[in-house]
Amino acid sequence: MTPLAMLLTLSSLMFTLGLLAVLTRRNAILVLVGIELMLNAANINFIGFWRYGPSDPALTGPMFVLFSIAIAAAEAAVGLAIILMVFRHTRSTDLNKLDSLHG
Amino acid sequence: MVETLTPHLPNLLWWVPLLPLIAGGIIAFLPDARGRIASKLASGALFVSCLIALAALACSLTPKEVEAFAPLTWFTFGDVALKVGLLLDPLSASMAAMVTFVALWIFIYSTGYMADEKRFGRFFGFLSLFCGAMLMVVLSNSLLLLFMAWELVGLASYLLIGFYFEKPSAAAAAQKAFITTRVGDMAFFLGMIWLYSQTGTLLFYDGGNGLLESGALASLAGTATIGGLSVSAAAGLLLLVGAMGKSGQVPLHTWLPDAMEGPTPVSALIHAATMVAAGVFMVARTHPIFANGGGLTVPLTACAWVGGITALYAALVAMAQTDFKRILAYSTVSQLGFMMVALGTDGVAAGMLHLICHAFFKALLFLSAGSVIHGCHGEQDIRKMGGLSKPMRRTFIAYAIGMMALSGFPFLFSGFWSKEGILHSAQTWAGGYGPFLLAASAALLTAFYMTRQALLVFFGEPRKPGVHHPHESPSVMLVPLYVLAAGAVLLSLIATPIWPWFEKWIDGESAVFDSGALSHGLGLIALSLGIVTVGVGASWMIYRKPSENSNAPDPLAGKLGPLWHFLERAMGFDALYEKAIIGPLAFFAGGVDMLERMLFVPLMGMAEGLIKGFGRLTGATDESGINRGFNSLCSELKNRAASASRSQSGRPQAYLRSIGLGMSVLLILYFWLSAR
Amino acid sequence: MIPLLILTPLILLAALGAVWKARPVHAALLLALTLALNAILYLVLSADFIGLIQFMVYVGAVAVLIVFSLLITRPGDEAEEIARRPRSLVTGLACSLPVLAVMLFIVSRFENAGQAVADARSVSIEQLGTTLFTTHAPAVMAVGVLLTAVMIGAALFAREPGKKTQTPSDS
Repeated sequence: MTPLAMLLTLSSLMFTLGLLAVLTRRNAILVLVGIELMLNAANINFIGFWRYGPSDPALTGPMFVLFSIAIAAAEAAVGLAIILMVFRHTRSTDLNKLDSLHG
Repeated sequence: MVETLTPHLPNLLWWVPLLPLIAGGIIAFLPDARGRIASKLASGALFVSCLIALAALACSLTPKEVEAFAPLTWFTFGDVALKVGLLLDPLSASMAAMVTFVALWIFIYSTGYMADEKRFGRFFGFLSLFCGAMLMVVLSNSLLLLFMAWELVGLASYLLIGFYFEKPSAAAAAQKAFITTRVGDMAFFLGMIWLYSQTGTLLFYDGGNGLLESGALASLAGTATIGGLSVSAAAGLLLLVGAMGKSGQVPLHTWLPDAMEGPTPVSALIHAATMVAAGVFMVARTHPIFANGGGLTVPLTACAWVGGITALYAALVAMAQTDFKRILAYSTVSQLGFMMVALGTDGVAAGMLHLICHAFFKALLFLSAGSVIHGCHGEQDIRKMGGLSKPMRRTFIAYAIGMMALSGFPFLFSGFWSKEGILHSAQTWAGGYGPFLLAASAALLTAFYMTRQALLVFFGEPRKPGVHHPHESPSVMLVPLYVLAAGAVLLSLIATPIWPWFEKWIDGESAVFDSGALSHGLGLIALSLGIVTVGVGASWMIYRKPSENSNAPDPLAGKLGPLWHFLERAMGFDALYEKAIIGPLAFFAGGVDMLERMLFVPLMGMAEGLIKGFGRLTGATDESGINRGFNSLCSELKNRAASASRSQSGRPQAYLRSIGLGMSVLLILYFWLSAR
Repeated sequence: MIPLLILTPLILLAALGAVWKARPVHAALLLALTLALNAILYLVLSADFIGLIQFMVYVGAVAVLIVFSLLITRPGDEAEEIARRPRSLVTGLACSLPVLAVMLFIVSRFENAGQAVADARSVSIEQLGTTLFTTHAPAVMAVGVLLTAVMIGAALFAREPGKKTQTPSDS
């Protein structure tokens, strides 16, 4: 197994773990945790391909990861702010309770 | 004046019939139940018509060619046009003047007589309709227009006889009149069609091409048809039947006595003076057709004999009647028979003279009958009257003049001269003495029964208690009586042989004052005098002292026995018709009714049931099938949608799970497909 | 290669813990650990700058933010006991395992790609900065606007409700 393959496997597994967290966690904040894991897995992918792929003068790998981190941080901030607002309204962070849009 | 009027006559003449017709039409739409406007409108229209008719009379006094004018094209089929127009000759001018004059005075009389009537306005509407139609009959230049107006006159008669339609006897009488005259009208119509098909025209005078002019007459005489008769003879016979219906000749006379159910002014105007005269007038008008071929033609012979038989029959029946107006009705039938005798025996002028004089004195008699009945509070049976000459002096005088004119009292009264003229032409007829004898006997009986009526009503002691306080009529009813009485007398001036102005004028010649003329026909004058004397005298002898008891049988009844009752029942004509015609018809009608009730009504019921059943079936199908199907579809949809919407749980993780699953499935699918 | 072999399982274990642990704070802290190990991984892969950024932003800001939010909301532990909710676990696995399968399938295509490249590709910061601000300048500006908006938005969301404006006299 080449290093690249190992990195890709790592990234896939981490992505799946993040997805599992998103799908099964009841607390909204812990769902955010899962989202961060997923984003992180994608970042690993980029760095892996930059390191073990053909050379790229535009430095696409690190550049993308830079932006990804920035945006992930912004999104985490906004997500947490929203969760706090919802918490104020409903006094809980249980996702199952937020079903007023049901059909 | 004649010269200034003559050019305007073609247009003016149309107004004579049109004014009353228009007045009648307006009255039909007036909401004026009390009739004040109606009577004034009708009288006014008729008055103007009378003036125009008199002016036309003045224009036609000088003997000249017949003025036929204003043919209008009524309708065309293909290249054949049917024209109608008006005609002014001595015959039509005299008739128009007579009709408008007599009708006008009867209108005035009616305003008094019918004042309490609740359908006063409608009465005048019908009267106007009648006058307009009658004037159209008289003035028409076309046989078709004459026939149409003839029918309208029949309609007006029906409406007026049945004026008191709440009385079943009046309604029945109106129907009887209409249907009986209808029989005659059918023959008239057939004759008219035949004439048209033979000659191609229905105009009387059309500048040489008319029906009564030489060309058409020649073709009518030339063509032979069934029984060896010429077309003019056959058509003439048919026209004669039509006249018989309208003028009440035997056997189509049964409606006239029953027509007395109508109000008295109606009896006076229609069933004495004018409508019944229409038949006589029509024969006089179409006389060239009757006389076509020369000498003793079949229609003329038939006319004379029918007239004679009718005259005698009606006079016999009149002897045995007890209703005031019925006696006068049979008297009218008899006098019409006289006129037919005259027309048949080549005395057209004499017949027309008698018609005009008869109009005056018969209307007079009927109006005075109305006055008497009015004064006796509705009593019409002469056995219950008596001694009315003193309380109702003026009416009595008017009645007396009329009665004397009708009976033929000599010299002063026009009736004497006109009847004498008829007897003269009957006597000099080439076809034998039959009609003459019949007419002479009828004249005798006329004097007899009129004297009887006069004695029983006006002389002696009053017989019924209720009649005790009769009163005289108001002047609105008396003045017309005076005018008509004056006419009855004055007309004699133009009727005497000394100055036979009327007869000559009708024939288109000028009259010469010939004082020696009386000496020529002296034998006939003596005969007439004798007839009157015998008739009046015999009646005087029998009825001089009428019994006090109003229910006692007539003095003559004892002498004649069963014959009296036979006469009283009008020789059984009504019973005969009832059995022979009405009976089978009613039976047949009953059969048809039964057929309808048993066959067609159930059939219709079945059809109705089928349709209703079908309707219900489709309704049920619609309800159960379509509605329920639709409803169940909708509820099914709702349920499915409800269950489908349960997947929208509102929980984000459920959505995410489905996204994840779905995407992975898609990717697997993609790779699998791309690997193939 | 060796550092990779050591780090990979560690990262996976930490991530598993972040996903599995019932107590939220534990899970959040394990997330921090995962992110930190990830940063080390970047450093090993000679992406120095990125590794440091990962430390600073992810571990230093995001993870801390998450912990702070947990402190504010103080959720209970029982609800998070995944083991007590087998149905939810099964459903989650059923939905995520196919994804894993697909990804592993793709990875299997790269088995022999990318041989170990001996040269260390470290990139100087100067190079990074130049590339960042020339080739990707528009993106940088967009991200700047985004971050500004996020900052304002988060501040708006997080303030106390009921106060429209705060004038000096009211406070």
